[in-house]
Amino acid sequence: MMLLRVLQTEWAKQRRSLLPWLVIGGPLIFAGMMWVDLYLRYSYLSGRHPELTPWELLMQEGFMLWGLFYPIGITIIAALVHYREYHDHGWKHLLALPVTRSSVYTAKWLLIWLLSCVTVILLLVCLYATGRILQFPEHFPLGQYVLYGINLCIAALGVTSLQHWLSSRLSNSLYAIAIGLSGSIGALFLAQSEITRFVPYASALFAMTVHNEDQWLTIVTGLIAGPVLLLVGMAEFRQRDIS
Amino acid sequence: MIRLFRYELQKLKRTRLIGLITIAPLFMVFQGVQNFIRYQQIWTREAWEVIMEQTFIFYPSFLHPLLIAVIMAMVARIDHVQGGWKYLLARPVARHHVYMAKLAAGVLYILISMLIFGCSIILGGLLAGAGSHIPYGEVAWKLASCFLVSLPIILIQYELSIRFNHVGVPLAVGIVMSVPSIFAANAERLWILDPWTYPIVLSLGSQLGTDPRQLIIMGIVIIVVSVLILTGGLLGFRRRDIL
Amino acid sequence: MMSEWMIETKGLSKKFRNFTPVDQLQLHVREGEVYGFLGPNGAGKTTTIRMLLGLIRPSSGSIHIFDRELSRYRSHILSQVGAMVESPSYYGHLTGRENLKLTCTLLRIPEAEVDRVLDIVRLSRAQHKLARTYSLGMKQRLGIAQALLGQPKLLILDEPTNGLDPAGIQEIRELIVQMPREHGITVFISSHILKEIELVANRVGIIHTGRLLFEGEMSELREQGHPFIRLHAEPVQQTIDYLHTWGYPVEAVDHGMNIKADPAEASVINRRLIMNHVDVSHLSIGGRSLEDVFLEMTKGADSL
Repeated sequence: MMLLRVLQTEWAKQRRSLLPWLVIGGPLIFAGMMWVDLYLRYSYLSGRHPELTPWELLMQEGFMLWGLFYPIGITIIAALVHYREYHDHGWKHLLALPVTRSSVYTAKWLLIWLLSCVTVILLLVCLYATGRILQFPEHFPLGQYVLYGINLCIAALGVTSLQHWLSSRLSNSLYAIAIGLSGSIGALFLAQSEITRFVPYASALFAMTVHNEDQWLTIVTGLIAGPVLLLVGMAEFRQRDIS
Repeated sequence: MIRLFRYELQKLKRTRLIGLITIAPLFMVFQGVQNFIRYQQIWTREAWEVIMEQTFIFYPSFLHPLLIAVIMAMVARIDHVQGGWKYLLARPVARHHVYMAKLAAGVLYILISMLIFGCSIILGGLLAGAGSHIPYGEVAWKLASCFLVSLPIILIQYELSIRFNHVGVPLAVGIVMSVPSIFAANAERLWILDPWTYPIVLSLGSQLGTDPRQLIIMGIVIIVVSVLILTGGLLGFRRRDIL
Repeated sequence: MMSEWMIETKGLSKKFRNFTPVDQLQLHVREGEVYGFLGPNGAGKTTTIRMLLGLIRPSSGSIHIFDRELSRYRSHILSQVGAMVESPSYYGHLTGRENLKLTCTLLRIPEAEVDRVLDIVRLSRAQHKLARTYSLGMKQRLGIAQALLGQPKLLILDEPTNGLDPAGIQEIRELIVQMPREHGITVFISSHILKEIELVANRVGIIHTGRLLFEGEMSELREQGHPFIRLHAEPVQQTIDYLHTWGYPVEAVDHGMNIKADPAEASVINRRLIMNHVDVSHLSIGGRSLEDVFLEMTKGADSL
């Protein structure tokens, strides 16, 4: 299938680039931070929230920070996926090949989204390891964490579509990155208002599965924004003149 | 050298950098002010104090360092692209002048963005009806000290942007190093290791009752690191082969 | 200037960890000439030029331009040198005129210079368009315009006709030939295309895998092809005697004779023979072409 072939080439292009480092390094560093945080503050935190298990505490401490860094990470993944094209005049070459524009656009989108999901999986693994190293006595609440992971993957749909389109459109990758950074940081506030909390950048903030009634927000935003923005972006991409 | 400085500024014409650095801070202020309005009844403190607090939450820890990273990456990128270095350095100009002039241009943009941030705080507060005791002095003081304390960040980001062609390197470093800012409040002594935490530590300093001796150590570290990075950067730039 | 050379390098070398792009180069460029720096791709031309401009530090050896050492008088020297290295460098988000004005700001040159150089390279009409919209030929011309700002005494051009169409190549060629004649500018031009160098250069330096294989006048290079004049004339023996008397070495070959002489003398020989009642039926130039000379020189130096 054409899509799979293009996807394969896209992935092959990323060999020896910064991308693998980011995908693996990101969750690792984050988990490291979490370890430091809980190591220092565990007694204080469990005092404040006696009803939560250590695992739940871990998630609660981290979700906001991850909710900030996850969209930033996706922004950078999207920028890197497009970086080669701009650097080496790749667009002309790529689009003159016998592959449809739709498959190229979708393949890149898939790559970005799949990599963000890989990041989530690695995050879960690292968090598990963190908890074990800190010697949490309780059982690892697999269900709760996996659900968190799934929520995050759905949350990623919206940001992926948005950043993917921006990076494909703006030749100076810094612009797309700057917008993604602003959006992600701004989302911390936007999430608090009734209206603006539906912004895709804010989706990851609602993904937590510990005493969180707003999980539906993540699912709804992700499942709607993701495909819609993807299709809109793809339509624009197909029309565009590549100079 | 003034001439070179003007030259660097002219190069940045039409890069829409000004637009970029204006929007993000405005965003932050907008949110802060919104918060203030929403919870107006709850605040028990001086209106302006609250405004400052709300708008300053994420500025020193994330927005400020990330803006620095983006601005410096932008300033360097202009020459990385299209063989700008060989165009500039095959001219009768001293290399260390070039290094300093570009640095100055970047710093100017950073100062502009801080100024815009400051003005929008005041404007936002006025619009939200926080009263007429506008604390110009406090805002100015907070911004000025934030700038001074972020000197190592500025110099490191600049050197990374100049030394590495790939825009991902300075950005990745900037983001990763910003992560610990959240925990800076809790890691009583470790925060010294990460210069990216200095702005937030200074900002929250009064609230946490940070040991003044630590602040002095911070000051010393800032001066030492800044001198080292600047000297190293200048020397490296002068000796480097432009291939 | 005490030395007769505008550019002189002694033992110039650049070594990297696992290869040496430039090895013991001794270049000599005279004032007021067009010097052709010739060599196949990857021979070390661009590295040499970058060293001449102070972009790369030599591992060993010295460079003297205008009889001054480059490493010590860099700023002073470069203020009188204009250069275009590999692809033209420009800021795409600025117009052609703005790019040139920028250089004027940098070099403290009056803005009138911009109009002057735009005129020389014939870009005046397109000066207000963004540089990234220029065609390849226009970009090359912009690069040359940049190099001409400030009326340099020396122009260093690295493959200036790269990627141009024949009309463009001819325009650049005419510009280059004008330089010493009309503007008193010495030109150092590098290329891998022999034809181009042959048409513009007075002196030639041939570089291959980092080493200088030949340096000298264009005519010297031609002589390496052992050119001769091929003649069919009657009566044969008389002709040979005449030619001997006039001092030309002659070799009789079947159906004619080969005269070891500069091809430029063909017309003179022809006229003298005719005036002595010799019937000349065939007169042509023989010998190995410049191309053959070049290929043999570069092949001999290194087996690929």
